[in-house]
Amino acid sequence: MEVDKGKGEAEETRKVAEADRDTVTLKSSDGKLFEVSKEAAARLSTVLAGMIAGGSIDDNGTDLKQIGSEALENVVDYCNKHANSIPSAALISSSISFNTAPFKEPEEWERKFVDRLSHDALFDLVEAANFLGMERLLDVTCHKISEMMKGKSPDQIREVFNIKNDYTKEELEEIRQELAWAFYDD
Amino acid sequence: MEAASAKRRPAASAKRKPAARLTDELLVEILRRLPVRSVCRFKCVSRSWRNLISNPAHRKKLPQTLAGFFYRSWNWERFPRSARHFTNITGKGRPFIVPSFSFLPVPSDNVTLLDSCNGLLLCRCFGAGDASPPFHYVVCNPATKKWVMLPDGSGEDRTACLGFDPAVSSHFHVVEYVDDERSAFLNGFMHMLTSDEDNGNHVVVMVDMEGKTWRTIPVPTNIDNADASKLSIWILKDHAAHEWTPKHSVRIQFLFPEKDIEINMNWTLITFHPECNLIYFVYGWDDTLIAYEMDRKEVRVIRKLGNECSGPYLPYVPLFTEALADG
Repeated sequence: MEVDKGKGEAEETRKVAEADRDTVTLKSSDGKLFEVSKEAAARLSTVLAGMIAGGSIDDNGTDLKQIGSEALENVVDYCNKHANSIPSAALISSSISFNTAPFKEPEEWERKFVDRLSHDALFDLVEAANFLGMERLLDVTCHKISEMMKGKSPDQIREVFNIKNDYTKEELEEIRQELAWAFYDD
Repeated sequence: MEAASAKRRPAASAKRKPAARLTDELLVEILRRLPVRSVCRFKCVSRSWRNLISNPAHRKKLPQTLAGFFYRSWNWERFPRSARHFTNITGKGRPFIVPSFSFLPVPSDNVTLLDSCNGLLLCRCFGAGDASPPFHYVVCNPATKKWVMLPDGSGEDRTACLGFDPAVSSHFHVVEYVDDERSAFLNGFMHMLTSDEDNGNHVVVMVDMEGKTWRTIPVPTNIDNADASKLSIWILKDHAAHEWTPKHSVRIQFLFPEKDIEINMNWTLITFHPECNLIYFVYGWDDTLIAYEMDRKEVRVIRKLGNECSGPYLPYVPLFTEALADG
């Protein structure tokens, strides 16, 4: 997906090209360039939609300093796959809604899309989806992580999230007593 | 802040563990997709996770389970004589809900709690508006402080029950009984334990909330002839086939810390924990709240509620969604 862009184009040509192109170029924190369907980007990401509408897209690669190349590649991959699989205007939203609405189940291809990711790649993608305001991708990735956490013990969770157990032995025993019921299988 | 320090690790490990960098907001987004049992279990992960899960702002998004019980107390030397209480399920800490109900349109003393169902409470409110009828039914959600006053009921002092399931509909139902019945609302049906007019045997009567479908399910014959010294739990596996399966049986004597049967006569079953095999009951002269764990066959004293207290003991599962529709 990496794009090699010639530099030094005349400013005029660039502006015309920018308006006409049906893709946008995104630049990861480590300087790699990715091209993504403008339509899909605008439809799936509130942040990219805002940048496209506001004209702050850089043809030489719009800087996304918070997103590494691996995660950005997955984001772009997701957008391009989405462009082919879902009719446009189906999932437009103005902001990420952290609400209590029932979750939409991921579709088969979305499941496969996240299933092939490593733990680390998955967590990177959650962050990227959140940063870019991609509600649907956030839904799909959070769903995958929650499935992975289901049935895990506190020890296993500490391992995954790199968390130190800061309870004293006595405190932990007390909480475990209170929450004994929560330690049976899910 | 603990949460921040837990996340700010040396650069190398942070780079390799993107999971450790997640913001609280994203963690909550993930946690709210888990069963309530997992979420509660993960309070044991660390202090910062416990705080995150118990934080009131996050609680609204996370799945909820039994938080505690409402109950009353009477004391003739006190003013007011009757008081409302709430105890957390742990028996410790500040009550999850302050049971003042000051958001209702009548003085707190004029409110009597009648029933609780999936986050909503049914109350009788006395002295709202003119003197007749003597009271109005009010359905409220103490977590959101929303309430609805019902059109006039019979005005008589009857048993009234609440039926509500937020997973199905934002509408609730209030059922007023002519006789005193024990009932439970499940899968859209009010289930009442009553006796067959013909032979006097116990039966469970199910009615849907339109009052159109009525069904009678006989209870297993062994229940009627059961050994009174045992508490037996049966599960209705198949509604259509009236198939009951025995789940658990325990000698009642075993449930009480004091083994003297005379003292133990006075006990009240409150509820089953919705997520697991726990039974809650109060027992003895000082109304000790006790949990019995069926799987481990363990009895745990939660706290003494005190001898002034009285029922009904209403289990409460908070519901933070705003919706509260009429009727």
